[in-house]
Amino acid sequence: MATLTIKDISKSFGSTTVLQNIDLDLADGEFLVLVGPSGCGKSTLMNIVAGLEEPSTGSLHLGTRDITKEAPDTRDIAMVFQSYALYPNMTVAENIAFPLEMRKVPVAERKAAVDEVAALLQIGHLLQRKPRQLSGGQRQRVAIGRALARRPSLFLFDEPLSNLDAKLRVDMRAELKKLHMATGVTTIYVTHDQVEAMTLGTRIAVLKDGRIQQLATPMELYERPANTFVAEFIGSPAINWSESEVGSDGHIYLGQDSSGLLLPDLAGRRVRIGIRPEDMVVSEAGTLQATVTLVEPTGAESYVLVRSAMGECTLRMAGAASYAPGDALRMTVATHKIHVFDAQSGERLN
Amino acid sequence: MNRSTTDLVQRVLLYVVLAFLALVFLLPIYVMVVNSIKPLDEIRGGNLISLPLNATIEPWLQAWSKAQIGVQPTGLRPYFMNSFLMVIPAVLFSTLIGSLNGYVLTQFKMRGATLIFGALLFSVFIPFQIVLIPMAKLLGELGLAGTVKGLILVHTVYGIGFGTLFFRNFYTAFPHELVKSARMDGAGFFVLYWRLLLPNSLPIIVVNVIWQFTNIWNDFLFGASFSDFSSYPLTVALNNLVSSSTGVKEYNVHFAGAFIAAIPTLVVYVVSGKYFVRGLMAGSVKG
Repeated sequence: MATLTIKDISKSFGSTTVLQNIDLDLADGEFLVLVGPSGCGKSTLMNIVAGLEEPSTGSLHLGTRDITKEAPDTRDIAMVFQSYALYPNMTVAENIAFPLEMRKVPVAERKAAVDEVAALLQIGHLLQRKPRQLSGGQRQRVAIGRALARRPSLFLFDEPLSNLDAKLRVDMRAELKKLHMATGVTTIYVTHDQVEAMTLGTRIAVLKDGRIQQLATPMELYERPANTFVAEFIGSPAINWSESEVGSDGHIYLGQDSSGLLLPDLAGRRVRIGIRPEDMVVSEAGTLQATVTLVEPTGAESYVLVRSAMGECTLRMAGAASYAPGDALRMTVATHKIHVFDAQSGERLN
Repeated sequence: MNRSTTDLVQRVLLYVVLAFLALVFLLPIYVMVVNSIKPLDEIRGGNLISLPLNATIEPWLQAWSKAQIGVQPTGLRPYFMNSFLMVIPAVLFSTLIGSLNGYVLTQFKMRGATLIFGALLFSVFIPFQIVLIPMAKLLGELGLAGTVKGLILVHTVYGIGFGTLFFRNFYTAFPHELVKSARMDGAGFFVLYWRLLLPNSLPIIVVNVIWQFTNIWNDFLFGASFSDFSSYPLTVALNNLVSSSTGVKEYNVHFAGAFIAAIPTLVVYVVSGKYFVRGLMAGSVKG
């Protein structure tokens, strides 16, 4: 159990800067998710925490211990890799015991640790098999077991679910969360999947171009994205965008009509307006007129694509939608559900 | 003709061609075996293809333990031993050093790794003849001239280039996450090599062993240049047997001797061929 303090970490390879001044504080038992598109630097940050790469600047503290210069194996950090990285020449039991063996743990204790994690992860019947005889999900469990057996202070997960098929991924996601609740080990979890990020994280750090765009709880991230990148990255279907100029009186316009949102400070400024698909509500009294262009049922909910004065928008509706392409409808948007960003910088304004 | 008859004809034709080609390739072996068990006068009769009328293993016994090669009529046996004493350590050392080189060159970020690899690769292209005189001088300085140990050294050094090439290319494709994981688990330089890299290198070890074994076993030039009567490898002894016999040319003994010299490489191919199993790495990564 430990806290992790990442302070002012930067990393460059030659003239390419991969990470810029990363500051992160993890509370004891926290589950922090690093999310971002590929190439955003999240794996590099993970490798730096693990000790597999050296930061160009900055420091790392695990608890009160400075681990910036420490070797990967003495940091008391365990990692689960995307490819699982199981040793192909060793059995499952040998794989799980390997880190303990390297730490010169007595054989009896090793065996006890293997049995304990095997019971926890329900892989007891697989202990004598080689990795190639296991399915993807089983390999994943073994990899987690190997990390668990060490009882590390910090867990790192590098896209652990991305090699699993869709259904198994959802199952393992829930298991990971339960496991975290049961063990309470501080965890950093890297993913490019925003659903994984939202469902697993106690907090999420969104990375882009080596910088943290926003660090917040999942709901905060969804409800108050700090910039257009975060707003766009989190949420599926994606947020609806419309660009306009704030009226001289501070009115925010959706198409021709005022949305009712008044931001006097921004009078005359070019802004990007974002509205989540579920926040565009069909209403007889609505001022925004639209024509349905496409209906996408997914079962529990339907996505209705419409053309309006705001441009192309997606509406999210519960159950089956009672619309057909060509239908006309009216929409309304609650003023507090409107996200306003600067058209140039993309920073949040309201 | 209907479709199935056409298929049949094609199939028969295919087998005829394949059988013919197999015969062509097997013919030399047949000739060697058949003539090595014929009495000499049957060979003199002129027919190399015919089966022996009075089969005898006497030529094999001659070649193995009685033929005059050095001063004593010892047959090929002591030189066969020399070759083994030379080839086993040389293959072992060059494989170990090659795999260590490959490991270091691929798994560690090292300044000049490409340059070092290039230099090692270059050694592969150096013709044997060029190093003869410097190597003779070196072996003399080391006191290894004319010994099996000297030959072991020469072949080990020559094997490093190819060994490094094989292992480096194999380890380039070795999953980096496995190495990272092992480092985090606490494996040091040699533990990582010994417990993870080497046990997962069987296919390339087999390739390297076959390659080095065949080359070193069949080498004549180094053997002829750096050994003396007591340390001749089999190839040199065989040459002496075939070229220096006084009086009658005992072709049947020559055939038997040549076959004896070929047996170990054949065995290596047959035994290790089955370890050329693909996908030994399957299951270590990805689903």
